[in-house]
Amino acid sequence: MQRQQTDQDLITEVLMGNAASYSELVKRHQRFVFTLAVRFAKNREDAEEIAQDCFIKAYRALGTFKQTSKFSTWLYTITYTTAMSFLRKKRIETQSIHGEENELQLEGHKSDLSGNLAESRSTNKYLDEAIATLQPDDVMIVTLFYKGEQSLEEIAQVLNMPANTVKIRLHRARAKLKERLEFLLKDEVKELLWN
Amino acid sequence: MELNDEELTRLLKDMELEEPSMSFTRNVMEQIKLEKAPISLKTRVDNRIIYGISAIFATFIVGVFIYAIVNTSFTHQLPEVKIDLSGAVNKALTPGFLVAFLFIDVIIALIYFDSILRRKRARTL
Repeated sequence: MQRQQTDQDLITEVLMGNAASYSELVKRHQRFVFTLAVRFAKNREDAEEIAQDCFIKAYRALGTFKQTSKFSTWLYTITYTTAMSFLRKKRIETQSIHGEENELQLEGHKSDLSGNLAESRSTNKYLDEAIATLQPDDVMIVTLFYKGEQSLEEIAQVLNMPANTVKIRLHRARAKLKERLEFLLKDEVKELLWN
Repeated sequence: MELNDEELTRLLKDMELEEPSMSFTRNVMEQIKLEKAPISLKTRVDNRIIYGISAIFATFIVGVFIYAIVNTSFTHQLPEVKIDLSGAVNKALTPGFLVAFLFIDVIIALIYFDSILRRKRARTL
């Protein structure tokens, strides 16, 4: 039985001139990078552009990857900087910039949601809605911590902030998510959770 | 109804990742074909070469050391040098200094203990 190649093995192959090995790296990480991009861009077209850009930037800089951290951590750093520059370029309204406007949008959305509750009972949809109300950095922290298998120190490296700050922001983001989810799901919470 | 911490954690861990379009990998690889192949900045050096050079240096240093010992005459007597630091030490070791020294030690120990606890809590989060 053949051993599955590690990210490091694939990087070595790419650096030795086998560009095709990079496609395996793309396949392994594309879903997570794309998820992060969607959370930032809020639409799939832009997210796809951001995600592709990340992989191309990572390929260009692969020779500078020092291997002192995981490839995923390094890739997520690129994703974060790419997504942030994209947001700046496109001037997408984020909560951190236009908090009040988003609050208004959210209020509108909440009433829509109560109407749609019966037809769309996916927990993920509500979770996405709740996550969308967080600031971009907090979205990154929550997603990396719970889905990206990144430690607080690794997330701190990605976001270029102290691990303690990451920890505090994670706690605050959790509290905010909890509050939003309770509001969105109301009495549906338990039913959805245990279905 | 309230959502407890465990349920929230479970929800977050179970959240689904988004799936990009089917042509995503192909699109990336097509663009990569237009890029220059990346080159590792680290020069590849065989470990045996490193060990070889280290061994030569170690042998040379040990050789010089042995040669120096063999050719040293131990009959010479070293000149007596007396340095009296008792006055300076007594001046420095005041009760105030000792209290300050112990206080700083306690602070350092508490900071270290705190960092250990923080790391433990971070792991259990």
